[in-house]
Amino acid sequence: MRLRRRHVTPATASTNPQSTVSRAGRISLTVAIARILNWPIYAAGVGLAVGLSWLASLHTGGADVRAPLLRVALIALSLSAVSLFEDEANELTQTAPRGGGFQRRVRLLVTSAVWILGSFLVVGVGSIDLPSEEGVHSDQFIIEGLAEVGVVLAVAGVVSLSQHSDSSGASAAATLLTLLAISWLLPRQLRPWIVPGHIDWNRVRALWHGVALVTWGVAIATVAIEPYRALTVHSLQRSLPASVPGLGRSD
Amino acid sequence: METLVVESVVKSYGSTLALSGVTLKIAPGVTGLLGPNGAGKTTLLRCLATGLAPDSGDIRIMGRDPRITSDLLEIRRRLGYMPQDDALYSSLTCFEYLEYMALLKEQFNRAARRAHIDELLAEMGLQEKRTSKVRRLSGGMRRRLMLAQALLGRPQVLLLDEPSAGLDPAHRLHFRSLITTGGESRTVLLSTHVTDDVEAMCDAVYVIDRGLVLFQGTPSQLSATAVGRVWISDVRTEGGQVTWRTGDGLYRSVGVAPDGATLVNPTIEDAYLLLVGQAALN
Repeated sequence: MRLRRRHVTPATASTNPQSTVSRAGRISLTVAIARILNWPIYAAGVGLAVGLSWLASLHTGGADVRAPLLRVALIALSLSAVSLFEDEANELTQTAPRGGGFQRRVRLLVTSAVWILGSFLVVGVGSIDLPSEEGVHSDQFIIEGLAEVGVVLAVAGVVSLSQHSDSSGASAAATLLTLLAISWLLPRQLRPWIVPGHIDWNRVRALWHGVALVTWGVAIATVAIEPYRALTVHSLQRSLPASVPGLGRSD
Repeated sequence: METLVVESVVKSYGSTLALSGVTLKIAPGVTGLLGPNGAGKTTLLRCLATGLAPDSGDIRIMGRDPRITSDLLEIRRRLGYMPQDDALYSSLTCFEYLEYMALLKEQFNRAARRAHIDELLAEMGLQEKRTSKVRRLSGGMRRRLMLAQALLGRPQVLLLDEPSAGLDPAHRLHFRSLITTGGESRTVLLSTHVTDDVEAMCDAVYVIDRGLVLFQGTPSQLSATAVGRVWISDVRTEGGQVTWRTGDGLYRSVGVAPDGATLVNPTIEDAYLLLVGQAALN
């Protein structure tokens, strides 16, 4: 039996108001949201990252130079990707019918797609003629970058749910830089992603896989939450009588 | 029937209490919201615009509860909001900005959307700036563009936060005309410091301070609260809660009038200062 696609009609719209946007409408919205993203900053980040990775590809310093350069390139790429998640008019757009969750979903999708393209470009350029015995692994950088951009998107997503903050991108960038600074301050043995060599690559890869999975999970979860809902659930819990076990307020 | 109902709404930012049990009921027409800086006006408007969830209390907009997902969407479809700060995209042109906001408001018919935007640009006197970048607009033009986006889709409820700030006198009068014309069929809540705007436009007025409603009634009822408590004198006198020197060299005071004081008819501003004067001075 062939399944027929369900068409939304004015009659169903009243009972299911969330589904009244046609496919053409969704496409128009997606294109419009993608158009207003802060592309100049991301383009600048890609340019810087590709430049650094091209420098890394020159056989001048070996792994000691190549690896840090590639890492800096990926950090620049991740930080510039944050700008795509920032909404200058957040206070206003979150009160529009299609400005909340839908806009964040589009931003996450677009940011993820262009970041993946950018990171492959950066790592690809930086890995030109890379001998494997140098201790620099292309897939290692991809996973590291994935974890970094996961962190920034997760933080940007969570902060964008807060109704008191309109600077999710700045918070995300600050968080990533803080994490990197902390990791830089850690003893050399504890920061194998900064200084390669003499490490169990499988364990490092597993660690970064874990970080990447968790942070991307958080980032994706935030786009499904309506900011108003996020705090209203909390408000509802506070308004419930204390006698409701596990739900009511404790005071 | 009231379009906006707010019951015992509490909202705090950390340890700062912005709204401490605000209750108000707003019917169709233009209602003013007066209060000093930090009174909670913007927080209240953001709660009503569904951009901010209250910590406790109930909000009903057109009989709908924004805590229910389907109601929230329906509310947002019928709501126009103009925030205090300009929420603009500086890299877009005026037309592109309004078109983007119209799409977020589900206006997917291209021809109708564009005609509506051109109509709004003309109403706001911005047709010549149609293709100008937002970053090149003056402060007053930005406010007009913000007002235009609030009017997109001809909303039934209009929440305006300091809409006339930065407007020149001519555009302020035009703005009053725009709001009062639409106000007959829709509900407009206007947060402002400008008491003249309230006097000229509003059917009802609320005065709030420190998250509490201090007064509710009509503008004339508000000015009546200061009858016998406003006087003028040649020199600064005792008893004035707030005293200022007027353009003609006299001192105008509100407060407890001393014996023999020359009482004058109070304005809305006098009554407002009497209610919140000390807080405003602080």
